[in-house]
Amino acid sequence: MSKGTDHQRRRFVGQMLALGGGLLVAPTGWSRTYLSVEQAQALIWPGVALTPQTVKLSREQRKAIQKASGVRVRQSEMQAWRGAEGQWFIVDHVIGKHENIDLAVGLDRDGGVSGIEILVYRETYGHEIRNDRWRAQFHGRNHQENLRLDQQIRNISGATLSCRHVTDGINRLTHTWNLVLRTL
Amino acid sequence: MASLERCQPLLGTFVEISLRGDCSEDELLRLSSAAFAQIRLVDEAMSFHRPDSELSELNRNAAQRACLISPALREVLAEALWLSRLSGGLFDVSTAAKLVHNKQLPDPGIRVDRRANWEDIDLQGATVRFTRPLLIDLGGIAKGYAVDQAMQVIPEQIQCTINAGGDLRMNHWQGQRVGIRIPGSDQLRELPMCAAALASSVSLQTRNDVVIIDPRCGSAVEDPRSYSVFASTAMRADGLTKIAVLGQRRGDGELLRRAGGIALIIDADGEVTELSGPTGVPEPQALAACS
Repeated sequence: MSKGTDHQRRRFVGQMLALGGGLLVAPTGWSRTYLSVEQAQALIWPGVALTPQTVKLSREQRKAIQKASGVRVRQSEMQAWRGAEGQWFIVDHVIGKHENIDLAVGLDRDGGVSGIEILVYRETYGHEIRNDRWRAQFHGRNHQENLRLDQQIRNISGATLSCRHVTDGINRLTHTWNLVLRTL
Repeated sequence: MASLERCQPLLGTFVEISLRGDCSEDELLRLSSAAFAQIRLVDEAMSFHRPDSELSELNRNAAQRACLISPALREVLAEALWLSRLSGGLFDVSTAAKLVHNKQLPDPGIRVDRRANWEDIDLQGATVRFTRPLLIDLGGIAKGYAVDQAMQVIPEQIQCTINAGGDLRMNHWQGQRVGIRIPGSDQLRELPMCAAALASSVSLQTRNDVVIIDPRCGSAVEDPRSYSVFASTAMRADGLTKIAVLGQRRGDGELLRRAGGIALIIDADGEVTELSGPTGVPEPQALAACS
């Protein structure tokens, strides 16, 4: 390796460490809000008038859903909306690694999943930076708008999180449709 | 200036799309839907988990006859084989049989030749034939490709970040920063973006989401450190993380340099080191972009 490239490499690593030093972020409750319920409704059922509908699951129904889906039913009351042609829009909650994930699920008149949107994702891992000296490091270049801190700091990479609980939650809902919603 | 963040469960992970631009929120919703549709297409075509995917069909038939494949699958396979050649087989999409054996992938019930490797994948134009029976899994590269495809539908003037569970791409990446989780902790290490795409990987059996198989011995790599690779496309970065993890074991940083990637290792203390090797030096232009 030539001296020049060695120097470059060390300088590069040095920059990384300098930038990284002191930027460890204390773990805090981390949550990220995506779409509103109204936005998710318009995306999953565009142009469909949805009416809120109270759905209460009896103890027996919960047991039956749990048996059919293999997923524990934690809530006895569902947050549901219904369209004129038998469409359903449900706001559901599943436990992620530690905290709740709120999601919206559309079920069509045959109980098929027509759309899934994560509404709120809460997790307990390190979060946002409030370090103003970062601002000086941003060159901005041709995108001044990027200087907004809230845009800067939310790019969470490496957080490969299991989706299994969401998949379980969807299974629970399709079985809920089959055992309860389709007869309402 | 409107902004929007959306997240859907796709590709076996959470795919997050963040958009920001001088347009209506409805336009951002429309663009994000188009981007998610691209990801869904890749998921449907290249998933090992779906028996009806184009990949599963290829796995069932290519040992018997040459199979015509879509341009998308061709693009991913060509990149995979290029990475295999570059790394002397460190990157190998034909390790699926090992993952099936370890019960990390569903068993499609197809007999394979244990001697088969990437060199038995004969890609000629738009056709593929396996010269020995084998199983391809594109889990180490297709997620990045999906992110790249989704980015294609976003106009340049819209700022966009797509993050598929650690495969991340930004169209306006200069001066941006990312937080990478420190392995075994719930803290983040902040780094500057050094290229348009970043992929991060930890290979531990105890985490059921990421496993990297060493094709030389067939066993899963246990390395508690996280490997992050910056590259110009998410597919390249995705593939190179596997080479970074495996290459590190033989101390070869040269591979990454040749592939145009920058690899950083983050250990459990949050210490960041560049993947070292005989000439493990980032490209000068990448350095300039980072500084």
